[in-house]
Amino acid sequence: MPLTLLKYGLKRDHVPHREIPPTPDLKRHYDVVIVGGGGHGLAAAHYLSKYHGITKLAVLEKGYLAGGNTARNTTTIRSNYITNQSIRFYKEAVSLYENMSHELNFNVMFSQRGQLTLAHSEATLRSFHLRAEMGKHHGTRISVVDPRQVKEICPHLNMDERGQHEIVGGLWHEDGGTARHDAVAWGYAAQAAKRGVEIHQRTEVLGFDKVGDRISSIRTSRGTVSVGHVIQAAGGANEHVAKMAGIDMPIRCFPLQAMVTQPLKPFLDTLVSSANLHTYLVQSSRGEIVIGGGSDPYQLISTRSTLVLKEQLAHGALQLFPFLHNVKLLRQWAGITDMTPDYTPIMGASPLKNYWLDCGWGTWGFKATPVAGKYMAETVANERAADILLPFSLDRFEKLALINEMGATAASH
Amino acid sequence: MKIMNCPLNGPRNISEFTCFGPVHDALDTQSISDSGWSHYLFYHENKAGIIREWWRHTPSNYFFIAERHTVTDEIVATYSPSELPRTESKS
Amino acid sequence: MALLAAARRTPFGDVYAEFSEGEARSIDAASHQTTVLFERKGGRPIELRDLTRYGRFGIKGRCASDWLRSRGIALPERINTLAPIASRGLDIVRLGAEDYLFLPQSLEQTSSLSALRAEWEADRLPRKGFNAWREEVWAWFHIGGTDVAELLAKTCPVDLNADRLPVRSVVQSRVAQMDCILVRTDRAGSHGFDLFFDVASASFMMRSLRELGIG
Repeated sequence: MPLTLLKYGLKRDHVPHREIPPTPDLKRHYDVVIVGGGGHGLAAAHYLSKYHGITKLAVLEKGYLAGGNTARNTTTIRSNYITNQSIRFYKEAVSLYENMSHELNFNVMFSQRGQLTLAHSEATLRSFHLRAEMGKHHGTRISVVDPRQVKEICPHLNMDERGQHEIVGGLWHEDGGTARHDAVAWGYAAQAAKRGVEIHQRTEVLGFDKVGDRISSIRTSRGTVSVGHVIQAAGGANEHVAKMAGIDMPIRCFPLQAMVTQPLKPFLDTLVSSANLHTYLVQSSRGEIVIGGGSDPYQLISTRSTLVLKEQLAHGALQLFPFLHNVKLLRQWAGITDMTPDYTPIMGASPLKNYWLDCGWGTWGFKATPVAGKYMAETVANERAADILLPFSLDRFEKLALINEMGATAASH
Repeated sequence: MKIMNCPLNGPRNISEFTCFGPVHDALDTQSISDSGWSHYLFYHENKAGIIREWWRHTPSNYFFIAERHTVTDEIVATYSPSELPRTESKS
Repeated sequence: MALLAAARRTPFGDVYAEFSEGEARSIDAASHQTTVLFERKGGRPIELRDLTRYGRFGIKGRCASDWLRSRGIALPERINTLAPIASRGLDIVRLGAEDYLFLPQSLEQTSSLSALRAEWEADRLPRKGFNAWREEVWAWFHIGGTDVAELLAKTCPVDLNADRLPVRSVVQSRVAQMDCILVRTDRAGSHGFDLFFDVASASFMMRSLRELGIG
């Protein structure tokens, strides 16, 4: 290693290896254009290029690579949902994470440490029993635990016996875990780029041209390109982008705020969340305590933060771990989430023949990065929505066939 | 804290209020189609700009209308729902 | 009570929780009178009383006002005010356009309240408002003392000073991070408020208000 360093250090014309090439000029045509250079878009690019041989492919990103909700989420990976459709889907997401570092030849620091969701009331416990039974039916590792077991799993928790927020039990999801979000996006981007996928950063989509019920070309801030197929995976901008394509979406934007503390020695080796307190905590590999909660109480298309929400998060965190009271906050931020009425994403076909949706990821998108990428790629390659995605189609709202995941999603991930 | 002006109780902390989402047109339950229902229930205004919303002052359970900018979060006006018919545009 | 004393918890937390000695504690018995010593003010006392066990009656909803008017009850014109009804020995608190709360002028005296309730129940009118069950769902405290406004300023965002808020005014806001209605009654002789809030949180409120005195 030192010799190599010396060799390249003295070499005048050495070009360092770049995993993500600089943004090239736009070509006139791409077989597939992916709108949105976040985790989902990049994962789709990876699967399309590696498994479906589609490499005449461009990812258009308005800002910089994975700088939106991919960078802002709090990296929870889990499959403890309540409906058959969701559990099947997210279970595959978890197993794809288990193998992701191999798949991408890049360490995404997946840590399957388990997720513990706390109940402070009998009503919550009842819903946990339902979620546990559903999960077991689908073969995920999940069970309801009593306060004694909660204490064994997470000895530092304030059980608050006889108090306002007494912990009366928990939902223990051993499959749950966390991974490094930047690494996930970077890994997919690097693999896709290696196969010739073009990643166009700072390239904003300004509009779509249509011929009949197909998108013929995309107007961008750097020129117009004609396209075979389009995947829309634009995170917080999904409703806005869909509108440009003439598609109405049942989506409203809400900010989701989070924060991290200064680094501490490792003490928290599970993901802990409490739906009643609207707070969840995870200790990152750097030792910081990542604290997140539910999205803001009213809609906003802005990443501003508020003291009220930060106080609520701190309140919840201190209720669970009072000894954190002297710990300083290091950073805080917000992302714009594209919330759907049933807390379930919208994937698959759109009213346009060659325009495919990967939207409505609200506050629950990171965990689905690999599985959404995999099946969106399959969908585009076969020109029909993959079977596993059918329940998530946009027309479920017209058919009143919603997939209600509000209880398993809101503030408990 | 952010302050909202309740038409009944005066200026209060935003934490005393609950948002009930954008105002829509009333629907005719006799003639509406399935797709009309779907739009009524699930499709709401999400524009970047001033929208008109239902809000409630929670401690007094008083419902009113607020006009708010969804990018700047500026509350432009609050008023009693009885004033709704007087304003022409729909959200 | 014997039932509650059994080894069983309820979602209502402490209020109804069994104690180690096996005796249930009712709301009424929950130390219904206490003194908060306001340290910042040199330990001047502020009296706190739990009045939850005393009678009250509320009706709300469409035509509640019409019904009351039909009984010759003069309604406070403005929402968020209290008006005495001398003829009945009651105070009427107007909480909304169609939301009223009746309090006995003398706490122990229950007959006038019962009479009003009986009148309302007996009436067969299809629209007369509905029973708001204020005696079931709300706890009722009184907190009073010279420095009460300053003490409550630590937890309630509204200016409760005597010069800003005359007697008989009502504030619907938050106290101890809970929705709470404050009615200035000066019931104990000095500047003071009746507090109405979620009955399940009575001991939490009691503890929170006591703690306010410290520091």
